[in-house]
Amino acid sequence: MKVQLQKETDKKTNHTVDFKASLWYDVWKRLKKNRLAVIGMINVIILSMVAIFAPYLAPYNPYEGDLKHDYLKPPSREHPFGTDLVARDVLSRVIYGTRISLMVGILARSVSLLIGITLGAIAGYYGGIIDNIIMRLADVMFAFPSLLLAIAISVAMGEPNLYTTFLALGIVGWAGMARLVRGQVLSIREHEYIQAARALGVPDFRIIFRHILPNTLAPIIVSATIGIAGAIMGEATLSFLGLGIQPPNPSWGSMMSIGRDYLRSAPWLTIYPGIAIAITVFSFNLLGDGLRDALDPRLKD
Amino acid sequence: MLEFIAKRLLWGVFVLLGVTLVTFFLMYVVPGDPVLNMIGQRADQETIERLRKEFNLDKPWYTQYFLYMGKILKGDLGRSYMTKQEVSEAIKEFFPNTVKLALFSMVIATLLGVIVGVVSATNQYSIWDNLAISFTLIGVSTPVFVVGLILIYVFAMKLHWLPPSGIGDGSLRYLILPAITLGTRAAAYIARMTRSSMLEVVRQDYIRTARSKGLSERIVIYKHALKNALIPIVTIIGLDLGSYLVGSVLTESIFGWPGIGRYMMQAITMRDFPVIQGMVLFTAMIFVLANLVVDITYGFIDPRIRYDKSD
Repeated sequence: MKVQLQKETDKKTNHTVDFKASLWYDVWKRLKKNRLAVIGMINVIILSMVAIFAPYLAPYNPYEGDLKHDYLKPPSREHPFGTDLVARDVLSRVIYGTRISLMVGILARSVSLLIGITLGAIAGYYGGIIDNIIMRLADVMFAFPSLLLAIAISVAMGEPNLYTTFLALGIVGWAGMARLVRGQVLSIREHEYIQAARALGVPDFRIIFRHILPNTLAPIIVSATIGIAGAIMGEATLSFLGLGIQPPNPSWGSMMSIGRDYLRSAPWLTIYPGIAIAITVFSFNLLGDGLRDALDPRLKD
Repeated sequence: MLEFIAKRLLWGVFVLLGVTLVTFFLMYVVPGDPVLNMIGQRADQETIERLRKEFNLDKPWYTQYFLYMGKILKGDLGRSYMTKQEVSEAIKEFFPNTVKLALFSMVIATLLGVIVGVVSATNQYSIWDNLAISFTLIGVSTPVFVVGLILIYVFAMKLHWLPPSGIGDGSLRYLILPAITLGTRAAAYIARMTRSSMLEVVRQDYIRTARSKGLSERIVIYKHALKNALIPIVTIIGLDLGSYLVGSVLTESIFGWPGIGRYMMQAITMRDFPVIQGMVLFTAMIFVLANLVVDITYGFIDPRIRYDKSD
């Protein structure tokens, strides 16, 4: 009903005018209609809550074993996901793992965004030789399978820890972002309002950040969301290979890497973190796909 | 056409040069003294100096890079710190196994992906379509090692149908689980691509013509629609080669499959830098070459591409 009230027919042109029809309102309306996207969004909200309130949600200390109980105990009422090698509660560790996973995912993506947007905007705005150098560099980055490059970078950075993990994953992702932003900037650069701003003597920096980038937000948001899914998967993989978050920190990947040796006798060590990774990546992918359909309906099928 | 191929080849050479620069610098910046990394901390000063000279570590970086390039051009990808084996020797030994695994999983992925995609597109919005979409979403979202470990647990440890690891006598039984593990993601992508490609093609006029001629639905779908929908699918299969190469690092080490992926993983665990460097370079080279081949083949299949990519 509310939507109906906001609409008013313009008699002259016979068009329906939606007074709240800003881009973001439209996007929100389309997103709400997409069931899978809503599931993804709700999941992402729940996961963020779990990450923020981990200390209140986790029934036990994720770093210290519960000495009253045995180690490697199968799932029970006291320990729904069982206990690990040093009698730590697996459920609590999976809950705390959400923190690491989301944090690395978001930090890695922020690094990619920062480098990618800056270089992409510069390349697109100035063109010429600068554009050439930046984009050829991006091409070389694309020559590597991304995870392989992340592995190589994190090896090159020495002792792996939280910082090397998100930096490695972030550095790998910039090229895609730069290509995207460059393409957008190239098309917007020629618009009249940009020429007007230039004629008024607005500095380049201000034109790029105030006038061009806000208009490229939609594809950047989509790419950032789907990229978080990739970065979370990357973190899990690096940690599984021993090149990411190190034990005793409860990263899902490193939990699986330890659990793997006990797959036959204690499968809960491996299976629950595995499900957690899959659900998290799945949720961000759903949300990202939904956002893409909502932001650019032309792309849908 | 010749001009197009020449341009692409030149481009490939340039990218490969860039790739060698990146791999060179990645290992150049590795913390710690490379000589000490190689022989351990207790070496005497004289040996250190001698080795530094021997490996040209006393020269400036650009000289080192040119020497490195010279070696690569001769097919020398370096030598392991630990086993003293040449990386190129190891590749000769292990690469065939990786190719065998990758090809087999590519076949599985393509068959599965195309079938799921076609079923999903021809029954749009049905339960089958929803199932197919769920399969692709889950396939894309589950890391290779999670798929692998779940498969080992279910099919090897619980059901005892297939061996959990190794290459055994080289029979098919040992190949099935790792191939499925390696192919899942690709299958999901191919299914997705097939679905959208098919949906686009069946709306074309020539499909309407085929139908109005009275051809059976089967012939319309498989002979007329799928054939035209295949072009983007072929690209996806080619471009996805990277995921097989990276996936092989995880898949091979989980399944103990003696290919270059496991070899590289062992090097990573032992921080055997020359091997890591050599393998990253080798993998990237294959990736670039594969893209090049896909690009050029594409130019043959679809003449429009030749002009589109001229910039």
